Amino acid sequence: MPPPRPDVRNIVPPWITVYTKPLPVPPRGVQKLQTNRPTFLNLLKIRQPLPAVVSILHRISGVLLFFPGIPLLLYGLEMTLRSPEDYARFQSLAGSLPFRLVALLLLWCFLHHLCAGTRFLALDLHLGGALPQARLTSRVVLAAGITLTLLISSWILQ
Amino acid sequence: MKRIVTGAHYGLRDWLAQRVTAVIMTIFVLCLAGTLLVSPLPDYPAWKSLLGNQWMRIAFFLFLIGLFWHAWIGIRNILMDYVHATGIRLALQIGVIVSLLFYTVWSAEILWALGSA
Amino acid sequence: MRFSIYRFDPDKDDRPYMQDYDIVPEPADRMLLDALIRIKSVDDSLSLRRSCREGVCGSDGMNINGRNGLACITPLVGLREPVELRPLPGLPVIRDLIVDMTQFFRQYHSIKPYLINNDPPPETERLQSPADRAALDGLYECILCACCSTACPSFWWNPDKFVGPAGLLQAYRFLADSRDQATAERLDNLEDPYRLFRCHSIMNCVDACPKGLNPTGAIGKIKDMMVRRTV
Repeated sequence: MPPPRPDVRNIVPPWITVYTKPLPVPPRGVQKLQTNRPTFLNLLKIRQPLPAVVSILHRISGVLLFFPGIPLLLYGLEMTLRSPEDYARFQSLAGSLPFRLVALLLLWCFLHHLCAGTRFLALDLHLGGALPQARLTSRVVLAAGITLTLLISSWILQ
Repeated sequence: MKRIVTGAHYGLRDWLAQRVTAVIMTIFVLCLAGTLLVSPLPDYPAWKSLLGNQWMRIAFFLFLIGLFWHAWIGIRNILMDYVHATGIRLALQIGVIVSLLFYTVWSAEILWALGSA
Repeated sequence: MRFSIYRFDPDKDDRPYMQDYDIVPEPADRMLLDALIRIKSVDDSLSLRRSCREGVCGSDGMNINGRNGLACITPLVGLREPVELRPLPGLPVIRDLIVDMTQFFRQYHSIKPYLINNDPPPETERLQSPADRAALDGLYECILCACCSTACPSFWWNPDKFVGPAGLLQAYRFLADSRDQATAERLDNLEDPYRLFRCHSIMNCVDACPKGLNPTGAIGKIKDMMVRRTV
């Protein structure tokens, strides 16, 4: 009696699929090129490191400074320089809550944009370009933007 | 056939201009903030005479020009990243340029309507 | 251990879905790839690329709990459960964790990733001083796993126009090579608002690189070379 033939499936590693029968071939006419290809790009499922967060905030703050920042700046400049009456009107306007909220937001936009931009300039000069430093400086920039906003706004209000 | 053509042979100039304007604006803002910290402006005449000074007026105008140039490069970068239909991107870019030219004229008008102090 | 894995079979599925697997790792299973191979022994319909299983071939790049990395050098210890595995972001999915890398390699080839030197070849090698050779450290080690480029938002938005961190690191690898003679052509080829200047130094590439390389730094050095020749 011949010895039993070893099953080839027991001697190859488990992750290699051994086909003991020929591969099933789809009949002609059924074979087609794959056209349906999804792309995984769910931004909620992709973790963004802190330097990337600082960068996107740099971008968002830049957009807000462009609009409504620039027109508001010019409008305020015009109003405060036109006449003493307009200057007084601006001062009373500056006391209102909506004005203060908008001003606070734009102040943060400006300060974050300034701090993050300084960090980018340093990176261009190859300062702090290694990953640990870049992580540290992005933390510092984020904190500095918020701290300076609070300090300056409380200094103006006092 | 969909062929991607690249190699516009520019890009460095804008990248550099964005950084140069950033540095100039930062210096100006720090100087202005330092001035205000030392002597806050109490009233309208003081504020008006600050910007009525010819040198201050020129510096402020140059700051604004730098700001508009910087803003143009930044906003165009954003449009290049996110807006992929060429026609819409061009239309938005034209809109940004027109608004910035308008702001330039407006700021000149504000600063030089002051008369000399 | 619980795994939640992105599944898509173009022959059966209209859209991708997440499938959960519970497996008990053997003591010898140290890396994520070991666990994936164990899962594959249970469900052989799961598809993934892998080859060297030691972080050299660059085939098993995938998105692991939201971060790109190589399964073969990611320790199982320390992975938050369920371990969410998805294909590399932004590239078309062929099946499960396998993505179509055509776009990535097209950008890589576009920077001419080979030495260009028109001098007649010498009898032996083209020699370099140790200092010149040291300039290539941190550049030549790239294994083209695409973890960096597919972590880069600029590459997500413009994969057809932006070379991406992997391609630009290699571009600088040849710009920095003392034996290469095509510096001007290489810089011309990259001086483009899309090809090079979509990089906004957010450093996701450096964060993702499993070999610890710094594409952002290399891109900065390319910009240095451009500034030096133009200004």
